Amino acid sequence: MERQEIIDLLPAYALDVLDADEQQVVEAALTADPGLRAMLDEYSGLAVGLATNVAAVEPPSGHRQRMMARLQGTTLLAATQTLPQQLASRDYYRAAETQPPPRPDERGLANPRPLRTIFSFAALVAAALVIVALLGWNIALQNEIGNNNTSVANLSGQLTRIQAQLGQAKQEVAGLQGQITQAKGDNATLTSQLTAAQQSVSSLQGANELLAQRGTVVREVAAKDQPLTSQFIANPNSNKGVVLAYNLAPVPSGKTYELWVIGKDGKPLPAGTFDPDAKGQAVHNLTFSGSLADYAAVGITVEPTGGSPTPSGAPIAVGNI
Amino acid sequence: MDYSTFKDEELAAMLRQRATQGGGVAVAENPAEPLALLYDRYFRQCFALAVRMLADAGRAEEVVQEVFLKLWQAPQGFDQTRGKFASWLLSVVHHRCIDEIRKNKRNLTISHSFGPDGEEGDDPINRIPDEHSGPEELSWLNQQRGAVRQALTRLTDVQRRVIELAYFGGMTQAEIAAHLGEPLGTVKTRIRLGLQKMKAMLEAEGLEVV
Repeated sequence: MERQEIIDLLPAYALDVLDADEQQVVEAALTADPGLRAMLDEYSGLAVGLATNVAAVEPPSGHRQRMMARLQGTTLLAATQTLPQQLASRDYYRAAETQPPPRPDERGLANPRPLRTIFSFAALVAAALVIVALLGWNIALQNEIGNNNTSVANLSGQLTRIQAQLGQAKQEVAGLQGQITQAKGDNATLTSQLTAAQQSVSSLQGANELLAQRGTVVREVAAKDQPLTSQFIANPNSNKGVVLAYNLAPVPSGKTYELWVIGKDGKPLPAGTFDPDAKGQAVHNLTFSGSLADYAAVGITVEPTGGSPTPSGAPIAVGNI
Repeated sequence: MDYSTFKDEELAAMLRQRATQGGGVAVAENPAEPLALLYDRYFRQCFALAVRMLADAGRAEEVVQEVFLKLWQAPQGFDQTRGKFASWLLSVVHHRCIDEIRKNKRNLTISHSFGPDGEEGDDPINRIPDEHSGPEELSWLNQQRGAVRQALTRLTDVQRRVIELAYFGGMTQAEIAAHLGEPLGTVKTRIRLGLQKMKAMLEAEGLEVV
């Protein structure tokens, strides 16, 4: 059958008025074609709409009580229907079923009719008692299940609340971890600043000690076209010196300042690198070989970070010793 | 716990939970309470449909209660991914009534709705209840009712008649043709065009039935 023919049958299928053959064809097509299923759903919606368009009828009195009685009866029936299954699960009942039947000549003696009738009656009474007991047990179990379900629902609620609290606590921990991380960063910055300050204090103490010695010389290291002012302090009786620099311009990334001591032969020797602080100040201690008398001047250049063995450009400041 | 504010689908899920005793959904303290709530919500509507189809209040009550008992015993029959609970429930009641009609080889509805000569004894439009006839909380049913009522009013009499016979009478197309004394093809066409027309009218006005 063509798809269009199936589509034409869908309204009638939704109303359940097709004959058996047509119904079978449509159902086969619906299984294979989800698009047809979607079209059918629309017609089925219309059919339900028809169901809502019926005259209101006053419900018969007592219908709810009858429904609840039927419901209760269904539940009890379901409980009694489980009885044979429970009995069948016991091994001794299965064993009894598998025993061979008594021979004819024995059956008459072993089971005389009056006695068998008495036993049958007794068995019926016993079975009835067992059923009543099991029904009672079943009701007790239903109550217990109901109580357990209530407990599960309560525990579920508690679990949800605890999970919510846990989520909140996790957020607070994350916030605190962020603060700790920031504090650690602040601490590292402060430590770095403290270290720099301590180095400056140490260097200035060296300069102060030099200035206290007899014969110490102080020389200006003059800058060219720069606001830099610097001084070279050294004592002829020692091989130590200090350069104090002010108004140093920040060096570009990958660059540093380097100090040179220039021999009397005009050859510059590296005397260490230094970087200015945030205020453009620097204190640089140096130890030179030989004595101060062996040197004619000091100079400052800008070099790649780590310093150079020889100056790579013209000095930005020079001072005679 | 008060389950009266629970949605139909939530109550149906509780019934499934009771039946399977699995985890994940809270089970009612009184396991039958979800069913009782659904029964209170929809018995009136289901009963009206069954009476309309079977024309017998006693059988109608019997059929509707069987449907609810079936729901209690096998709540897995409702698949909420396929639509609303009320829609599914009314469909089940409808199918159950059709089974009942066809099983007894009688069509009690015909004698109530339409005379054998084809005259309408009871115009369905006049019997459509007003907006306040159903339970107030069933706003969805009221919406369905209103949308379909509008579409029904715009069908021709003959179209409306075959649709009524088909849906409420539980007759096959061939039986309708025989009953009306009209060719089978004509009946098929009227049913098809009637529903297509209703569907198109609802779509054109932005109304939806689900």
